This record gives sequence, structure tokens and C-alpha cells, in this order.
Amino acid sequence: MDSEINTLQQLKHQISIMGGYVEKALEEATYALIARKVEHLDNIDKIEEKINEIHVVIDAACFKLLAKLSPFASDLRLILACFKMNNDLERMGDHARNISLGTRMYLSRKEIPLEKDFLQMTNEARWMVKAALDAFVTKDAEKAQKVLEHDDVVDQLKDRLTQQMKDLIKKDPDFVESGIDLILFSRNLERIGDLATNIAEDVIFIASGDDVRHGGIAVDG
Amino acid sequence: MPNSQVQKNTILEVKELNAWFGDFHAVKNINLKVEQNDILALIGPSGCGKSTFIRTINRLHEEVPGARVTGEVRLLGQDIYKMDPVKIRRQVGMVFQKPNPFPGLSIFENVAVGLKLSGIQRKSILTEIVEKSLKQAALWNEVKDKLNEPGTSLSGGQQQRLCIARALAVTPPILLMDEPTSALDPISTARIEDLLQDLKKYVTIVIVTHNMQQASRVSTKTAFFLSGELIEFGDTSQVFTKPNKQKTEEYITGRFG
Ligand SMILES: Nc1ncnc2c1ncn2[C@@H]1O[C@H](COP(=O)(O)OP(=O)(O)O)[C@@H](O)[C@H]1O
Ligand SMILES: [Mg+2]
Repeated sequence: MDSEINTLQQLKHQISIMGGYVEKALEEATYALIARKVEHLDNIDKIEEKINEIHVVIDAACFKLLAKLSPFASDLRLILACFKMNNDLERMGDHARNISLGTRMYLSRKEIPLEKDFLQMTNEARWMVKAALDAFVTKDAEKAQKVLEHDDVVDQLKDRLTQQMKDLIKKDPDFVESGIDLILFSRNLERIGDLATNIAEDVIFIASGDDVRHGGIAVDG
Repeated sequence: MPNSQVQKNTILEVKELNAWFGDFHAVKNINLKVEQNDILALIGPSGCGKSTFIRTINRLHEEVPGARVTGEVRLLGQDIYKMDPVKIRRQVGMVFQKPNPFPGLSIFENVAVGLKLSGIQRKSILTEIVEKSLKQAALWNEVKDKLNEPGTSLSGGQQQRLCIARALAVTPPILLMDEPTSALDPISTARIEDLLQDLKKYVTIVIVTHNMQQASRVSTKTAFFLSGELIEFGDTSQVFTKPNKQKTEEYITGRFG
């Protein structure tokens, strides 16, 4: 199947297809969790399979295109960035799957009324993923920059939510299992936000050639 | 980056250089500096003025009837346009696309001829310099037992290395090469590319190449020419990964040219 990717345009297209699957997996998992609709989890294994398949295909395609095109400048940057984004997207898929697996257990446990912090965190993480992918498709460094700015928001929400759950568990040990579930969900959402940040950094690298990671460390050579 | 603080010697400095063929303005207001141990690659589409530019660096350009040059070319600080052109051409050799050993001259004589022209006659000195030059050009082992055979009896790749030895014999400050591997097979090309890495210890090199992979492999600085203008000049690693000019980007990613 990697023989179908022969141009950089096709490579970009495959990344955006993979991104679409990741968004879908995340949407289904979080919807099942929030709306307590377990049947929405049924699709996730299928989506995961697709993600894993494309992951392998894109890896092989990057390898092939580097060898075939000996690319320079923005072409070179695009292939390197796709190679990294491919890994990050695959790991986002894993986190969505973690949420999905946890949700099956969670929905059978004592229900915790979901606080608005958790809903907001879910929305933030999903927005970051979508915005990073949009920025990639349109090569929009400004939008990617906005994604970077949202990372702190997700981190803070996660810390707050973790504290709330600890307090709740201390007060009422009946919530111990569902409380831990929610802590783990927020941990997965936070990681998804981090990975969306990586993608946004890759978009900036593609667009400008600048490495903005870790506050932009100067590298010689 | 403490390394960038180290002061290197400027070998070549070009200031506001222009070159014409009659009314045709082939090279337009070029400014650049090349330092010791640099290999400068000149890239750009066919007809953009690479050969014309490199031929102004040893005053070959003005040999063409109607051709003219303005501006400065400084080698080791001295403006070569204020010096004797014959001396400059003898001192600063050029390696061309097609190897051009002197027909009728032996391998030894090909390398020694420039030295003799500059007045060195002692056989022992000539022998010593010829051997050293052939070693620098990575040809010695292949020819040491047949120094009296004609230069033209060698293979294409060997002839090109012989021309390099000939240019090196007069210890030039700079070695000029105009598409030196275009007529060679891939193995001979790789040998010359390896050789350049050794040579840059002794001599600063300016090389014209239409092969972008070659430019990125061998050079430390890259100059991109377009329609006689110098569009971008910088570290090779920067030019090929993150060019500053849109035109450079388009050219090196194969969008035109
Ligand atoms: N002897 C000449 N007389 C007139 N025009 C020439 C002569 N040699 C080259 N030119 C013109 O000068 C321009 C630059 O040529 P050149 O330096 O050979 O380009 P490059 O080496 O980049 O292919 C071209 O437009 C070419 O046609
Ligand atoms: Mg030329």
C-alpha cells in the first residue's frame, strides 16, 4: 500500500486521513464517557486498526520518499515532520483507546457527576488535536502557535481535577474506583494535548524551518 | 556558539563585481567572501552566470573579445585586477568539465609545466613538488611507475585528478572548478568529491556544479545565482535546509530550473 504514496502531496493527504481517524477515536471515546453510551466504544477497535495500518504505511512512505527524492528545504522538512507526526498520531490513538477501555469499567461503577472542569478539559484536548491538524493541512503557523498556548490550560485542568478526585475519594471511599478512573482519563487527555503540541511544533518547523521546542534551543551545524 | 568567534582568514573577497559580454550584463553586482578551508559551491540554472563569475576570479573572463569586468576581486587581500593577468592565470588554476591535460606531455611534465613557467628548473625540486601534488590529488599511487607516459593515456577520472595536481603544483590560494565531475562516471565522481574534502586543508575551493546533491555533499558555503544575480549566499547546511529566499527554495526543491 505504501506504493500509493509517491508524492509529498499524497503523504500529506495520508497524514490528514490518519489525523481524521485519531479525532474520530477521541470523539467516540469521550462521548461514550460523558453521555454514558457504551455502544459508542464499539467502533474504536476498528478505528485503532486503521490507525495502526496507516502508521506503518506512512513510515515506509517517508523512508521511500527520502531515498527517492533526496529532498531539500521545505520538502525535506515536510517529510521529517510527517515522520514524527505519524508517531505522535499513533500514540494519540493509543491514549484514545486507553480512555475507551477505561470507560467500559467506569460506566459500571458508582457514578460521579462530571464537573465542568472535566468537560472543559475534554473539549480543550479535542480542540487542540483538531486545530493542530487544521494548521498542518493549511500550513498555518499562527494557528499552530495558538495550539501551543493552550497546552498550559489542559495541564492546569488536569491538576485541578486530580485534586478534586483526591478530595472526593477521601470523603467517600465508595468513589475510589471511579475517582481513579477519572484521574487516569485526565492523564490521557493531558498526554493527548502534549502530542497535539508536538504536531503544532512540527507545523511551525515545516512552515518556517524553526525548531520551537523547549523554548527554541540553538543547535550548531 | 564560541566557535563562530574564531577569526578565520579571508581568502577571497568579491566586491560589487560585474561582468559583461559586449552589452550583455552576465554577472550583476556580486558581493561575497570566502574563508580559509571553505568550499564554495556555485549553483543555479544553466546560463545564470556561474561560469562567467568563476572566470572573473582568475581573469579568464576578459580573454573573451568584447568582455569586460568591473568591481574588485581580492585574493589574500590583493585586488587581482590591479595585478598582472598572466601571473594570476598561472597562479590560480581552473579545472574544467572536460579534463584537459596538455597533449603530448607526460604525466610528470603536465604537473611540472606551471612550475617551469614560473622559473623553477632544478630537477630535484620539480620531482619533489610533482610527487607532492600528485599525492594531494590522490593520483600518485596509480601513476608513480609511469610518470613518463602521456597524460592523455589515463582514464577520464585520472585525467581530471591530473589536472587538479597541475593546478595544485603552483600552490594557489584558491582552486577553481567548473563542473569538474559532469563528464565523469559515478565512481570517479565520488573519488573527486572525497578528494575535495582532503584538499580543503591546503586550498580554498570554488566549485560550480549543476548537481544539488553534490553541492550539499561537498561544500561548506553555497551561492545561488539566478539571471546573473547572487540571490542567496550562506552556509550550505542552512541553504539546503532552510533557505532565506523564496527563489532559492523553489530552485532547490525542483520547482524550476
Ligand atoms: N562568450 C559569450 N558571449 C556572449 N554571451 C555569453 C558567452 N558565454 C556565455 N554567455 C552568456 O552569459 C550568460 C551566462 O553564461 P554562463 O556563465 O556560461 O552560465 P552558467 O555557467 O551558469 O551556465 C548566458 O546567458 C550565456 O548565454
Ligand atoms: Mg557553466
